[in-house]
Amino acid sequence: MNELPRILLAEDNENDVELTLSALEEYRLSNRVDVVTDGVEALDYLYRQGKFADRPEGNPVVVMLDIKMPRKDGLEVLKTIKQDPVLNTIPVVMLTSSNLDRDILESYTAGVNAYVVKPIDFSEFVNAVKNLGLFWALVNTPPNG
Amino acid sequence: MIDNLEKDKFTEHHQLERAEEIAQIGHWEIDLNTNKVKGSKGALRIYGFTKKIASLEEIQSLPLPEFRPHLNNLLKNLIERNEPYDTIFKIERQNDGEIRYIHSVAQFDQKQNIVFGVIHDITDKKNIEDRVKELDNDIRFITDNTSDVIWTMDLKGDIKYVSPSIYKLRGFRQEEVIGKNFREIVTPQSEKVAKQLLENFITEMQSAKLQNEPIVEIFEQPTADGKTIWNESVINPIFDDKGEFKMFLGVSRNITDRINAEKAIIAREQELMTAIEATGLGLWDQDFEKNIIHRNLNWYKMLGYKESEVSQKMEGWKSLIHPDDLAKAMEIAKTHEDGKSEFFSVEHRMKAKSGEWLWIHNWGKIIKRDKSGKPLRAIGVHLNNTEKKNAEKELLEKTQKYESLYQNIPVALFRSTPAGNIISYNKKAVEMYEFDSIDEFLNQPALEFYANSENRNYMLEQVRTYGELKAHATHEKKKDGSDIWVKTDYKGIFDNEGNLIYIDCLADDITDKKKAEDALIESEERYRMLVEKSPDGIAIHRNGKIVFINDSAVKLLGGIDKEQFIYKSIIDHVKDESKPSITTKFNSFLESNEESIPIEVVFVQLNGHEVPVEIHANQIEYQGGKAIQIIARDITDRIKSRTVLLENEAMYKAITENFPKGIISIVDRSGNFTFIEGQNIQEIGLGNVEIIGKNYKNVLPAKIITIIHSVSAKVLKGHQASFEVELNGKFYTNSMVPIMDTDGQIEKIITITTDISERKISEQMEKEMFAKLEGEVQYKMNELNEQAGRLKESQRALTFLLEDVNDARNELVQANKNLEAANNDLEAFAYSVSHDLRAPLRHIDGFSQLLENLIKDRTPDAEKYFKKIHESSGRMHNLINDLLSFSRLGRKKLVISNIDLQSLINEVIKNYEPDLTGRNVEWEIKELPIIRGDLELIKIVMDNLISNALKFTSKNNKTHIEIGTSDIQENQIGIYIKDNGVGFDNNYAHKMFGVFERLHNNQDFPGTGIGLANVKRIIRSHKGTIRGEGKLNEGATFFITLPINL
Repeated sequence: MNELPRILLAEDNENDVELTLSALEEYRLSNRVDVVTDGVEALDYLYRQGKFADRPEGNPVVVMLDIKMPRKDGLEVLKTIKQDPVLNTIPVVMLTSSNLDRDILESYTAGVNAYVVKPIDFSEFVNAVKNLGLFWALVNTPPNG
Repeated sequence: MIDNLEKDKFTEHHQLERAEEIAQIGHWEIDLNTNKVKGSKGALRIYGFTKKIASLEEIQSLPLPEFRPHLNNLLKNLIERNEPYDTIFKIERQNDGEIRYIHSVAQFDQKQNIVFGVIHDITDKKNIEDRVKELDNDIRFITDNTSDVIWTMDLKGDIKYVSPSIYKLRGFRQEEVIGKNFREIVTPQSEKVAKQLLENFITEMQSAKLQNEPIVEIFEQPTADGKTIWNESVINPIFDDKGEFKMFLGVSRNITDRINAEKAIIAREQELMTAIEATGLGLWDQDFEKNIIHRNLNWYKMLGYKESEVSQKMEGWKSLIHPDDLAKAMEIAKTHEDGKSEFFSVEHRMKAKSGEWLWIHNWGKIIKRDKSGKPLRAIGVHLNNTEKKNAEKELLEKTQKYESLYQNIPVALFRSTPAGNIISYNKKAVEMYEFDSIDEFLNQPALEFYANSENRNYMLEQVRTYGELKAHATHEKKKDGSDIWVKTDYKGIFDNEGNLIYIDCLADDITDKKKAEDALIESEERYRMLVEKSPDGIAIHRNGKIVFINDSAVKLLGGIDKEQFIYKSIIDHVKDESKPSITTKFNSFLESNEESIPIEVVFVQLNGHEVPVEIHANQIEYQGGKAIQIIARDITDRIKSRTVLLENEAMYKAITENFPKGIISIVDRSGNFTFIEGQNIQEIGLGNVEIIGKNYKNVLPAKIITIIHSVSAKVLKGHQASFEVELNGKFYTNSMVPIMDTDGQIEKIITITTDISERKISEQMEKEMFAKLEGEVQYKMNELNEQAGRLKESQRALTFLLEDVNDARNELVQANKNLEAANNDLEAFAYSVSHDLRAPLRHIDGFSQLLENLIKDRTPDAEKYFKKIHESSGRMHNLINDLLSFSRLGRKKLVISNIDLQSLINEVIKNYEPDLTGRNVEWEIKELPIIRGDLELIKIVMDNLISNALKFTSKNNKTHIEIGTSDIQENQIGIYIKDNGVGFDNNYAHKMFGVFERLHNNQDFPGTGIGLANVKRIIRSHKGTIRGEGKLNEGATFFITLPINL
């Protein structure tokens, strides 16, 4: 059996990484989750360059992006993905603390597939992440390539 | 498992596609985030795309240009105001360019920012409707031209005469109708109309109000074969020369088909409206194993049943299908079940809840069979085809009706070629021209029908030029050569290059009518009566003698009896000096048919008195020979008024001659004097010359000519002009007024010259007085200047003060800038709050819960602490959100509109109703005004105040909340909200409106303390005020004022 496609999580805050992973684990989603901690690393991962030059081929089934990250923020990563003819079919979900109108608007203008404000309540947070994983990793059918 | 899931998905998709195909329906969507357009296979087929739709523009280019602005508008309203649309337009189909009618319905999903909709190709239905309309037009062309019935009746309504054409109209013979009363031969409904008509006529005649106008009315009349027809009657009252009523003369025309056609059009329009309203498609899904049929809501809606009223088994369908259609439908279904057809498609009737039979197009397909081929599952579509069926039936009926009309209509119809060959005709055509057989008629060249063959050439020329020739009366010949008068309507049929190929002719026998008309019009007696009673004197002169003379003429010549003048010459009564010229004129009339010119002469009466008269004379035909008709009118009065006119003219001249201190002169367009009068002519040196007829340039002093030159352009454009001139030590003012003729051309210019020397002299004296006064004024001015010097010093002192103020203002500007910077800092802070402060909160909540999960055996205390951590993080989250909303609110720009406070309050209260179950709340809402403000913000204010009122009364047994208006001051509206809750200590009232300030603890009344801060901020931005009044345990009242003009 082939390895299931991976999920890419870009998140600079290690606490958030840990909570997100434990939320995904709760559903026993068997996709592997690759974690990067800033926007530059996220793009290196997608383009298989820098420290990710040797990673196996294949795009992740979904990219989850925090907005506020060092070096390159989530909005810049989103725009790069959606303007790239090869990467633009990868579903991108913003998973962020910001519920500012301008962030939401800018994300949708750039072509984001979903925008999720991280709930403060942990059980709601678990539900939100679980549903994201379920939908994008299992239910959604991305175009080939 | 995934395998099954995908299969089902595929089947459903496929099922939808086939449903769309059969119903000629498609769906589409536009993703406004990406502007991408998607269309289902059905949509692609309707638009004629052979591949996917590339862009929005590609779709927008399909509708015909006249529909595009409307469609763009609909799309705009859909996106901007979320107004769904439902419209019909025409497109040019992409693949074959065919014009199709499209019914399109669309909605907007605001959440996803997607516009989606359904389109339906309704061209076939439209085409049938159009064909029905065309047929209606053809029928009208014929019925509008059927023969008329002419009749007369008396005041009681008794029919005295009716033309034989009544037989064609109603199937009764002439003699059956004559003698009956008009009221007996119409239906009871029309009888009332007829009775009213006669009564009105008599009343009006008695009160002399009668307008001598024809009465037009529509009556319903029974025919010999028991049907009824509608006829339109034009009724003319006829009076004799003494003004006595003689009879009614009526002309009736059958307009039944026109009325029926109008009714049919109205009925069809209503059908169309209904069709547009409901284009629902019913879906069914049959499970053979369980014998269950699932149906969608439309399926039930189409037939008008509730779901519970139709059995979900096969029997449910069988019980509704028309017994006559069941066997056929079952047979077609069986063929498909046996695998002998790809799908089944059948039209059958079904009984609707209303009892009506609907035509249903039922399409179905078995989509699942077991290994032996036994069907397991089938799906299908019900489409309500009743309208199409009915329209088809109607079309058939119309076609038959048209055929039958063509053959049986009581007018002759035939079609001929321009060369004159008849190629089609109806029965009446054969009868009208009295041919023995139809073959005989066909061989008759069209030309031979005409009494004068030129008439046919005239008709051909008219039809070629105008396409038709209407209501042309021609004299024609029947087969045996006897005369027939025919009213014909011709219509040309042209090929694509515009060449005339056929002429359709509709001919109506009007011989009867023509005869009746002739009898009335050519009656010599009527003419004589008219002439006899004329107020003008009329005489007929033949061979130099009077052969006829009317009463007025006898009177005019001073006689008593006609015999006094018969066989005498009228010339004897003309005054001697005019005799020769009148004799010559009469002779010239006899020789040529020249137009009569009125001649004024003087008649000498028998007693020698002279009467001035105006005569018109003209040649007429009288008893088979040429004669002169002389009409003479007494013009004594006219001559009198003419004399008065001449007298007026003389008076006018006398006035102008004596015009005080001036001259009145008139010149024509070229500047020649036609009139000049006035006392001052001498003074300007014109007294000794003849001026009339001379040009002003040759007469007037050079000085004046120059001035006239400069103003004449203005005057010749139709404006008045005036100027002053000094001449020989005197001053004159001149007003020039252009006079227009009836065509608006300037005919002459009147100049009124007035001597104003005296006025000038008094003006000069005034000037001298002024000069003297000026000296005195100068002295006063000097005094004033001194005072001004002193003022200047005080001014300087003021300037210093002003500079101080300016400095203060600059400081203020700086402070404002600082404030702005602080605001920007606040915004940055808010952003940071929203992001950075929330993350740690989330982590606290998250890890404490993970920790909780980890510790299996928890003491009650540990449980309590976990709960407190969770609650505290939740509360802090609320505080952050409120703080953020508070800072946002402050920056929002106001959108001011009229707000109906009454309905706003009702809306807010309604939102709280679900939370109030179990509470006893009494609302007392007074009459509330319309206010000006930002709707969104005012709603936040009212919501906060009402929610506070409800919160602080939550411990009451009985809650009373009162909302009304208070102390309305000038330009302010006051509103109060009063509750009977726990209230507050008035000493702390000022603290309530601060951010995070609370007067009660969180356990009793939960809250973040931001609500009233928000309220205050909003009211302040509306330039209003808010204050609260309270007493512990006795309730609180909040007072708001808002400006009226915002």
